Amino acid sequence: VIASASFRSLGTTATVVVSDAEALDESRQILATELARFDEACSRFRPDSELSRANAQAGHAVRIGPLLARATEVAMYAADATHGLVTPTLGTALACAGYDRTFDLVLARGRWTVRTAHPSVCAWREIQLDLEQGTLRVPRGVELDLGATAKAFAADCAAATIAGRTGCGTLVSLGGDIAVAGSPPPSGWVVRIADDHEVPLDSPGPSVVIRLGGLATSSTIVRRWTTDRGEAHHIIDPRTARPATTPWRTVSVHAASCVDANVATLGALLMGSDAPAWLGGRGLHARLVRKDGTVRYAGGWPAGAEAA
Amino acid sequence: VDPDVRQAQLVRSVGILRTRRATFATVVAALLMTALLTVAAAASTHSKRVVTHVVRVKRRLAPVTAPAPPLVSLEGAASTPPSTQQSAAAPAPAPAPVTPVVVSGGS
Repeated sequence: VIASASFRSLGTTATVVVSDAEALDESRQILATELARFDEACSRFRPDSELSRANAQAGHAVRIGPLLARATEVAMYAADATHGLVTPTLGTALACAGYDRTFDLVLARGRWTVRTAHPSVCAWREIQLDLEQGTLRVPRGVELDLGATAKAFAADCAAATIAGRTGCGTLVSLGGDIAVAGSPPPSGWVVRIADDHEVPLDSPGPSVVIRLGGLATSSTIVRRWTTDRGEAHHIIDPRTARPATTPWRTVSVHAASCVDANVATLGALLMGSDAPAWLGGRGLHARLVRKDGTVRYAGGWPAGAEAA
Repeated sequence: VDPDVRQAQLVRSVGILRTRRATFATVVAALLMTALLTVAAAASTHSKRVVTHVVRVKRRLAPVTAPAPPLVSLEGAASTPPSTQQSAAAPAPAPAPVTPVVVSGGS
């Protein structure tokens, strides 16, 4: 019997779904523990996190733990795979755009006066990560933000850990970025696709069935706030250091892992009209929603799901 | 004066005059050549002030190289068992009456 549990973590909704209801309590505990570890290592908003310490000492090598090292490596992988579009060097740009604290506090603050930030497409190449020595050197003048990849990486790690310890099929969703591990239920994992991960499960929209890998959705219509230059959103284009201007409002991708899926969704949003060809060239299955609501597909994404 | 002697004196005077002119021309040519060679030698041995732009290329070897493989589709997932890999290559449309377990959306 499938069972699920949800709670707030990492500034979003964390959900674990298992194929055996008896494993739910243990799975929930494992997920909470994993996410707490990620928060301590990778949060940009906690002054006591390892990442904040490394950012504060930009220009100097700082000793870090293995989790932040792996998360940074994943972020560099994302930058490499997208030619710097999905980059971890946008901390300063996000702060200048107004996202300089947890999102609840950003909303509570109200209107923000935008400051100018410098583009940083190539800055990620200056990051010095030494996995053997366990050190990280953030480039001088750069603030790392792992928000583009750390949640997806946490979902992959947590799903694998839960499936490994409980032996049952596991789905982990962190704010709509989904990783699955273990043997899925006979009918697979049914996932509703929407602009916002917080819509009710029975809200209208397409649903798809996945059995492995990851499924992620990124959208420019959520996590928005008000500035003196109009509304801003959290997907920053490193070429302009400003919220991205894109023909797509929402992109969903199914890939071999949640990290790959999430990086692909962000990369697609930032690539604009080139996104379908880029996704298709990598064999990724994707659903792209234009601002006017029309839908386009890439790879083997089932167009038939739209009518469901 | 014997005309032959006069003729001989005239020839000698003309010869002396030609010799002097030739000598003078040779000396002038030698001086010019010396000056020319001196200038050339001086130009080749004295240092020139040359402005050179030195571009220092500092090759920074990153201790860690980001993983090479690009984003992969499910077909390329090495860690997935072959039995499930083919059937789950792409997401399938969900049967109409089935309730989803979770929503994938922006956050």
